[in-house]
Amino acid sequence: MSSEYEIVVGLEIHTELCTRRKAFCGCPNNFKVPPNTNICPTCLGVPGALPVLNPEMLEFALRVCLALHTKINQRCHFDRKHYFYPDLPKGYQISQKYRQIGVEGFIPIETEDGGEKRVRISDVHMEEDTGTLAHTEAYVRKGTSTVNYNRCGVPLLEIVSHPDMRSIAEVSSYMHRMRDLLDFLAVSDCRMEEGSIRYEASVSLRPFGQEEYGTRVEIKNLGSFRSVEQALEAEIRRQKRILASGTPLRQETVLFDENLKETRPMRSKESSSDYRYFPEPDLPPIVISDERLNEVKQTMPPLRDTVMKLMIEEHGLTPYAADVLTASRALADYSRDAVRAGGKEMAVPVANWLQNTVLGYLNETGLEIAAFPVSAQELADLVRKVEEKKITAAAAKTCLRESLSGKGSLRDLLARQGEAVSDDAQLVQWIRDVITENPDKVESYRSGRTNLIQFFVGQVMRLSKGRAQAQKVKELLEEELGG
Amino acid sequence: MPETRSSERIEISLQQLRDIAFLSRLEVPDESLEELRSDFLALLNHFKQIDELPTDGVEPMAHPLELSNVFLQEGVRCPAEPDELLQNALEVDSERRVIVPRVVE
Repeated sequence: MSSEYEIVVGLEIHTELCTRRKAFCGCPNNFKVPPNTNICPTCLGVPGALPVLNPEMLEFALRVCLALHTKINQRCHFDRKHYFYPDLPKGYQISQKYRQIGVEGFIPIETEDGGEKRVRISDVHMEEDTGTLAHTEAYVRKGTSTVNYNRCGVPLLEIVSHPDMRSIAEVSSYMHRMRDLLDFLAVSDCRMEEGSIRYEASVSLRPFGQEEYGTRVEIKNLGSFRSVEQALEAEIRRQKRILASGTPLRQETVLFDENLKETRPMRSKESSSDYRYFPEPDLPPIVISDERLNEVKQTMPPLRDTVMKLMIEEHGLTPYAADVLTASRALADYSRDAVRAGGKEMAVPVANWLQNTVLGYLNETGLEIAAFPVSAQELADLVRKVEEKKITAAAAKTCLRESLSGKGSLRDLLARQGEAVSDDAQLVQWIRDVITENPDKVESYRSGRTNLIQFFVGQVMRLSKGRAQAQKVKELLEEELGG
Repeated sequence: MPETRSSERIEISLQQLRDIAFLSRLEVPDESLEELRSDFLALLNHFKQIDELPTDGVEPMAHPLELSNVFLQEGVRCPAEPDELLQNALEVDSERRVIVPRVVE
């Protein structure tokens, strides 16, 4: 039954732009400060205060338009979208309705069979964020809510797709590709958990082969990849159930309940979809010259694909390593710096250290690469020492760990560690000590429990305080034990 | 211009008027609705008349002034202090949040 219908999904993405100041006033664009600190007459909508466009917002919007291959309206303007809600003190949101900055573009996504397809972008437009409402229980009981206007007037970019996605996997790929794009263009900090990217999905079903779209339902207020995927699953289930019962679907807006994993219709508070848009009289139109557009093109940061390609072609990394090391722009920047600092012949070992040790540490601690205390240069130097067999890999790891846990600078710890021991006589001495101390284990080994070799290697490493090369120790051990 | 268009009068029902008043958060007593309707219609019909002008090939005007690209300058700061601005709020809690009538069920 479930395969009777084709899924048709379109997505709206709202992303906060990480400009230094708000969209239309000089307030800092940073709402991690005490409530109602970054506010001014303009973003509070005090009568008489006038908005002025932040040019950084325009530049960021242009980067996104260029990356999404949209047609750019070199003459565009803002419009007012009216509605009353306490998080919007002006009574309208400054947005772009009639002539958006970018129209008709596309982004390639991955299809389920591993191929690629283009999802068409219908428009990209600039607008402003609202304040944040809180409905804590104590207040709600008293019949009140609270508002913090720090976020009010923060620049937002809305990216609207055509209904071109045909499965949840495609939606997922779209969201990931779009996140990468916004991250690598350095226009958004992409912190989903802080609401810097939000989604609205529209979904309909139609019998396979049918040209015409089915009735469309919109799902509002989705804050993560996961909630978009789960909300779509739930809504598709609901629509199939209704269609199976022979009832026609209603075109409506639904909300997703994260706990119950189901969608339910939003209460229609009023016939509020009439936003009474009109051109914003307080902001003159924007004219983007060819020169300006070229400037923005020339200074665009490279997208993830380009960075990956560079890592593979110039530094000889595997596609897998390049993929892992470009999971975010910050990680890609650090990786590029480390690989460059190490020089050509060190590129692959540096990449291995990044993937295993650095990412392992970040995963364990939940830190981000920006908080990684060892510089790219220091990491590259460390790897070079290991590669040149000046220290053992084990000792290098120990020093790195100790440095990361605050036991001193990597340089000091390495100096204290001492150089690797490659003198066979010394190694053989330690090996004989270990053999003498463990006669029963030696017996077992010789009677066939050869995996005990790891135990012996460990013991020798302990005696050498990590300065022995494990591989060398293993070889010598096998000789000694075999004899 | 087609003849029929200019001869059509715009109509507006009392319910439409009530809806528009609601969207604008205006309280209009029932006894004022008729008068408001005639004022409203006069405006709408005036615009309808303007609508009849031939505008083919004319760029829609988004702004009445010949002005474009007015951008925020670096280093411009707001002269008003946040604390001063918060005094416009009816009520502010101890954490500086503005208290408003409840907006959820």
